[in-house]
Amino acid sequence: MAKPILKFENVSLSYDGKLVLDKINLTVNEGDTFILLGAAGSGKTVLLKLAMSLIQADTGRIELLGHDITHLKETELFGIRSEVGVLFQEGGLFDSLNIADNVAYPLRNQKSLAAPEDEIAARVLESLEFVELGHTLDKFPSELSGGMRRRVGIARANVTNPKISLYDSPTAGLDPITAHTIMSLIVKQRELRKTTTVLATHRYQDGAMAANYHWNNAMHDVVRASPYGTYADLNTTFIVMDEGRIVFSGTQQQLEASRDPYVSQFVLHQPPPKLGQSGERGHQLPA
Amino acid sequence: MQMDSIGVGSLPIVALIGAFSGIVMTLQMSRALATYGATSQTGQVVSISIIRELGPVLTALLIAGRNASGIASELGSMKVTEQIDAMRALGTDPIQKLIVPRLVATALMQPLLTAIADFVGLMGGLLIAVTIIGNTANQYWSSAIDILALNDMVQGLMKPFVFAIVISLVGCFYGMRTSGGTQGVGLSTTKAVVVSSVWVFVIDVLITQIFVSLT
Repeated sequence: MAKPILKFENVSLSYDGKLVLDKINLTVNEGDTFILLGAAGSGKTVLLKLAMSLIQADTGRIELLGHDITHLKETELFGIRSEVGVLFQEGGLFDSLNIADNVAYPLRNQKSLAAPEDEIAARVLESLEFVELGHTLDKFPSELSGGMRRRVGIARANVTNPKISLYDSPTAGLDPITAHTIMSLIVKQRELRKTTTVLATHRYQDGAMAANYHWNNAMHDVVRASPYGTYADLNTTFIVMDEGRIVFSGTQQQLEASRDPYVSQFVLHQPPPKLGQSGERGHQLPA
Repeated sequence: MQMDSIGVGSLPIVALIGAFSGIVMTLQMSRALATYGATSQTGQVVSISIIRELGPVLTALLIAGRNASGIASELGSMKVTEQIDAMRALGTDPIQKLIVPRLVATALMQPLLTAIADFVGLMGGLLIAVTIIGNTANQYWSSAIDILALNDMVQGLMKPFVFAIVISLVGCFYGMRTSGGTQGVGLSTTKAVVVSSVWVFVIDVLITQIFVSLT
């Protein structure tokens, strides 16, 4: 039986009197891919931050890597966080450090990961080459494009070989080609390093790619894990959030079959067709 | 690095303001003292005003404007771009890494800057006392030094130390509490300068009252 790696039990959180998360229950098992879909402000980022205890829940219980982290002190959390990789929505790269120092940051600052400088340098280079940015060691974040900064963020998140990686809107604001590259790297990381993956996004395409593609080392690209028109079995769960609540949880097939107006918008990019009307999607103009 | 930014970076403006305050103070006092035929006491008046009040308060206001704003905007930008969250996620305590160095640097540098402002202010006063009022340099210095008591020196160094702690903590507080993107950074910066400047005056009154009651 798969081991739970992240668990939320009845977790709620309010900001300024407004309920941001409402009784969230979810379990991410080791090796799973977890796709959090939701519109802006639906609570995806807050959920990811709670998963690392960067913010504290008002009620409920959060378990990460077998530890109850709900009420742990900051110093007690550092050891647990060292086994988690995180890519922030804004990248979270340190402006004042060059790319090499940014990627080396967790290795130099996590006590449990302490290593000699030459080993750190080798791991930094390996991690940057993994995202095909080995030539940017001496550059600063401001010298890189948005897509390159996200790739550096992925390199930094995964330089510690974490057991679980959390990606917060990794493709937000990127062009489709760069977004594809970023998602390919996430799939590559998941498959080559066997990392449990939690991906928050508002783009269904990202979830569909994580659910149906795997990394092919020979082709050096992602390839479909099952023929077109079928669903691959890559342990992927989709969650849809709306105003702090989970309104859908299930497989990609179940998500695509959903007739909930909010949920289906993520798949169809418009409300579902009304029953009893013609098979066309969307509203019909009066004759 | 913080000491360099706060100390060396603020030195030219602190020295400039110190010099001008000494010059203006001497010019203003010379007229009043001339009424009583006491222009030979110029050094006394200038040195007490600068060491006790003008040096510490003007330096503090400059540091509040230059460094509280700098600290608040720097930390605020880090907050809104999730660099502080990243720092925590990657195993660092932002209080140790960001706040403590700024607090220590300001607390060490501000008394030094104040001492420099005091000295440059007295030099400015000397310039006016000798060239316009007609004092001799010896006369000016001996009256300026003789009037100072231990109480004045302690007061003159204690004030900047306390101001420094307040200014850096206010800057850090508003920086770390920033939210709402770039607009939030601007708001935090303004609040840090205004609040720290007000605190400088409030604390100045309290410390002055304590020293007055001691004498």
